Amino acid sequence: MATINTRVILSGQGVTTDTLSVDLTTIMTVESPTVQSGALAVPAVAGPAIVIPGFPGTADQDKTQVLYLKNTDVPATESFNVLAEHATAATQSIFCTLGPGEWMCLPVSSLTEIALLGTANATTCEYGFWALT
Amino acid sequence: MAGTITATLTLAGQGVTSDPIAIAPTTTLDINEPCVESGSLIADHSATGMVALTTAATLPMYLYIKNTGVGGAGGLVIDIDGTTVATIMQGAWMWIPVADGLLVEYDSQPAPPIDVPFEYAFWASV
Repeated sequence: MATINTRVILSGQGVTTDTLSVDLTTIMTVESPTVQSGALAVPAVAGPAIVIPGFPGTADQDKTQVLYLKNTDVPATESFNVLAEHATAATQSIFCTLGPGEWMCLPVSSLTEIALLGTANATTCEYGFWALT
Repeated sequence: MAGTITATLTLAGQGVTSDPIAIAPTTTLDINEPCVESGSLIADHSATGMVALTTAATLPMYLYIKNTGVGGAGGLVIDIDGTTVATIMQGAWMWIPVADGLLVEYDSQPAPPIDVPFEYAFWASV
């Protein structure tokens, strides 16, 4: 039985006078299909959105997938958009924009497919995903 | 009043392949109001349809949600701009920069029919 530890820390002064301090760890039991460490080029907005290699599509994804994405653009100038398509809608819509150096970690619903699309120029992304048992 | 927060992720463990996972990105973010720096809600299983968590902000925002339920199997469903993007099971969490102008909504999974407590925070991006 394979596991990964996911830990998120949110800290800083924030906007209010209450200092932010979130630190939590979750152990997740995972299985294939997975890409534990990958990278790809994200095309500029003029190009078609690309799927993440190996990430299950709407027709064959029957498990929640924990998805990690990071914008690794260097020099740090370009953002890219993350699109979702659910099997019940069959249309892609932007739900997330990752600026340079920003990351996301999301348990993607089964039957939801993810695609990536650059903004003004092409950029780069690292990723990982794991199926939850 | 504008401020900053630091978001750090650690993914570690043996994982599925023979190459152990060691991923640890950190990013410092400029943020501003509107924000909820520490909040909690309950997704009522008897409610009809999705419930708005945020308004459709004109600014991008950073969003954190954790399913804080215990003793059951209730999942939390998250829609963004009308598309289901996440199912957060007990103890799991999500962190994403939400694109600007989008509405975030939540609901409990249809089965099992139980309420799902969760904590959340969001900030507008500067």
